[in-house]
Amino acid sequence: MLLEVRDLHVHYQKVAALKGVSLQVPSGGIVTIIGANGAGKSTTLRSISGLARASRGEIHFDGERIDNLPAEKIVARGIAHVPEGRRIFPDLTVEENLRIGAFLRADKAKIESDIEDIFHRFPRLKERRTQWARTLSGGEQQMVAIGRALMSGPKLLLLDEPSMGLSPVMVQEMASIVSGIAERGVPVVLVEQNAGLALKLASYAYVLEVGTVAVEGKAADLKTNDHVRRAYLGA
Amino acid sequence: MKSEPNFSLTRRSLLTGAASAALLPIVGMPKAAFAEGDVIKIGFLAPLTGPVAAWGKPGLDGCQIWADWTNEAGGVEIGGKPYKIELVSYDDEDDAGKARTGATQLIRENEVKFIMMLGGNSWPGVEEIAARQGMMVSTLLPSDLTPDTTTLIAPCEVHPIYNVTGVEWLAANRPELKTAVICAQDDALGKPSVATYLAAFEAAGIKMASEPLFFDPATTDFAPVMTQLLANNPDILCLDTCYADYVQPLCEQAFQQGYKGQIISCTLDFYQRIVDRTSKEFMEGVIFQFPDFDDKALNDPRINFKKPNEYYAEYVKRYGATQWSAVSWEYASILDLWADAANRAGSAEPEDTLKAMKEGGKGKHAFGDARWWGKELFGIDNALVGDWPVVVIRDGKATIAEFRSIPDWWDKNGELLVKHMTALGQMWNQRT
Amino acid sequence: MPDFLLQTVFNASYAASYMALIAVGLVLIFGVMGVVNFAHGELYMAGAYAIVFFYAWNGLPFFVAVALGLVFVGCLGILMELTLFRPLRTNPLGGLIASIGFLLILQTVAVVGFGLRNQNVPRVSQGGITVGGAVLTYERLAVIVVTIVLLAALWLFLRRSKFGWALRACAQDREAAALQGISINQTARYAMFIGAALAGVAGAMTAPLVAPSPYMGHSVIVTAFIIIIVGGVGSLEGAVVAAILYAFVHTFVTTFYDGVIANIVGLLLMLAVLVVKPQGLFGVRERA
Repeated sequence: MLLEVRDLHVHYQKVAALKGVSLQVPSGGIVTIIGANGAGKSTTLRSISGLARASRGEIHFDGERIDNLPAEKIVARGIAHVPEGRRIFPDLTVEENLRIGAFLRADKAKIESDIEDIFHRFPRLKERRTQWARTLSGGEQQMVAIGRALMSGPKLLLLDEPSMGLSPVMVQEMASIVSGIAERGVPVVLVEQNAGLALKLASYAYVLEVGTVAVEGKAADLKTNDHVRRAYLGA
Repeated sequence: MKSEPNFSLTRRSLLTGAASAALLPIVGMPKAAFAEGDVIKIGFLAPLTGPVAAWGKPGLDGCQIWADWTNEAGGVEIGGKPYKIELVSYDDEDDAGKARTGATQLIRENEVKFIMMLGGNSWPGVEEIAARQGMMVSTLLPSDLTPDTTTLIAPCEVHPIYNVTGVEWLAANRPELKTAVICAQDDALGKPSVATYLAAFEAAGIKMASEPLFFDPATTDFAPVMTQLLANNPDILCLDTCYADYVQPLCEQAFQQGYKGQIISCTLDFYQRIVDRTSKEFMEGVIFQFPDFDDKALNDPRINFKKPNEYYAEYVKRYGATQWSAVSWEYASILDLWADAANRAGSAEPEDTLKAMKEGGKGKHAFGDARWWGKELFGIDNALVGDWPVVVIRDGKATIAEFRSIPDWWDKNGELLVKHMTALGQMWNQRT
Repeated sequence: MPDFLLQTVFNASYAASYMALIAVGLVLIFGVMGVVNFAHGELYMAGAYAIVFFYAWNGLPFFVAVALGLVFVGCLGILMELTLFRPLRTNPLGGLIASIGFLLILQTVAVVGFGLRNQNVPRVSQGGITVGGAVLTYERLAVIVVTIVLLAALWLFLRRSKFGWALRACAQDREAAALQGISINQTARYAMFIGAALAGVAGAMTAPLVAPSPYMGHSVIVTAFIIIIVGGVGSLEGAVVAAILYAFVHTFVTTFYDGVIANIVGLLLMLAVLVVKPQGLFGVRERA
């Protein structure tokens, strides 16, 4: 297993956001975490990437224990996190946003070719490469955020709600981008509120409810699970 | 039930303790070991710190010399007995509230017989308690005087009236100068002085090239102020009674912006530093009102200040020549007057010394015989006014050019001064 | 009249220069730390006293003293970051209050170490350039030149160096910056050092021209806040432009009317900008 989270507890002030979450991510494919608002999905990703402190539990990545390391050290170990709400740098250009994703890298030539590669994969960004990032549409900003994360050359990509606020057409485009990333060899942990989309893309799924894992299993199985269908698939 | 007696006992002892503490200042602290009757305490209530400290602290330093010399010579003889003089100082930071606290402490706790103040911003805090207690207080600013301030005297400095002497001398010696500009900080020290200079200029036939410039006391960069002052190329630049911290940057700016005209000011504290930062040529001929006391002209018999040259030498020895300011000798000269009056009255009680001091309507002012004056301007004749020196900088040193009479100027031009004081709201009946 | 105008332009340029240094420093700190540094005026004062100590009292060459002052005040900034702002990072209001406490400590240290009276720093040079009848002394010219050099160096640093990028990213979105591998702690230290050092240099360069006193920071902090509000609280370019604008308006009004009216006009200018463009002339939008 590339990533293992064991019995993770996270508290914001006195309130417990995660009450013992365990999950495993293999070194290939897409694993998804679904659940209602406030279930703890984003908190899980933030604990992995170092933005949130774990009060109890362990996180292991690539054979190393990483819980409660500072975020910049976790990035250095190969985890890239595209946070909820995209969080691109509004006053840098598209290209500058991508470049800053490569902040920890020193291989200049490869950085340049990686940037061109991103533009190749996201032609829309290429058109806008010298525009301020804040002038882009929601979908384009999401692409910038993903591209920025990929620029760090990660071994694992954490994606928090990439479909949020996007039109149905953009959502489809986002879906194909996400599968494309996994196909090219970067495993993805996908947090989504759009459960249908998530279960379509992923091979394995965890359902979080009120800070714990309520159900887990192969995505195909969960699609037919009664509880999941009723609660999250609108059936 | 059982706890009640304890509670009342505690409350009672608390109240007793509080009552004792409250009574203590009235009853008085235990007396010190020295024989009480041999010492007279005199209060020094002035800014010892802050922007106006230059007109307080050096005065206290000078008074200490006076006290040491007087005590070494056996003290002041009052009613046949010698008394040592002890100075008690309190820093009022040029603030009325602090001055009130200081005056209360000096009168109640230290039992002083006389309080010397700078006056101005601090006087309103002391006015009431001085009147109630009948305490004699001296001020360097006659503009504090009103008909109600019967125990307040201005026996040395007649700020700002003495400024007329500088202008008179200037007009007599440099009649070719026709235009002037003036600037001052906007406060109780600056405004009456501006009125006086305006009257003096008018009396001398000198025209103002622009309206008086009252600058923001918070100014640190005087370049724009000086640019405005010099805009019409005035013959005379008057720095009024600017604080020491303003006078220096103003002179520096005048120098840097190439002013070649005549500078006149009331005070020019620490002028050696100004000469250092500009040049001897630039400062040559600058007129102001305060001599260094090593000036030989002070050995004239009409001068009533005792041993001025030795006093200056002692001051320089103790504190350094660069610490000599306009007030370094003034408070000491008031002590001369006080000691003389107490001696003649045979009593150190404020009302007796005050009466003796004003006897005959005349007094021995530091710079010569003078008269008690001021009714037209202040509503009360409590300012001792006579001659005052005009000081000119020659080769980097302050030298007395001449003594001129203030009452003579007043007799000729008094109504001009009243006119300008009224216009700036500085007459005693205009101030609250 | 012509050299009257030019003289005023010279005066205004000098005022704009040291205020720009102070304002840019303040924006840098606010942008990266998210904290309003109320002690910024006292960092300016510390720079001035560094000159009193190194140049006036110990006779070191003036620019050596300025360099020492820069380093000293920069380190004061790092001290503030370590002891005040970092522990209070989750509590910006607490950071503000702590900076007020630090301000009082610096003032008290100045009073105890140097006394309450204004200090006199010896003249560094006597001459100046004269154009028509207007004079710009070398001391004032030096302030203008040093400001231009430092701001240009800062601009290059922010655009070209890795830390410059880190600073800009942190100022725009701190968490997102952390997720790119940027060390927030290290970036904060850099920001505090540079921001404080700029204020310190402003104090050091103007020390021979104003008489340093423990409370001299008070007047510059108020002006600095007006300037950064007019320029746009997150914007460095805005701070420079606003400093120039404010200094020129203030100097011209002081010269043609008086200083108190100039203060009022300055405030009205700030109000006008806030009404027309609330985020300031070059304002950066609210963070997402």
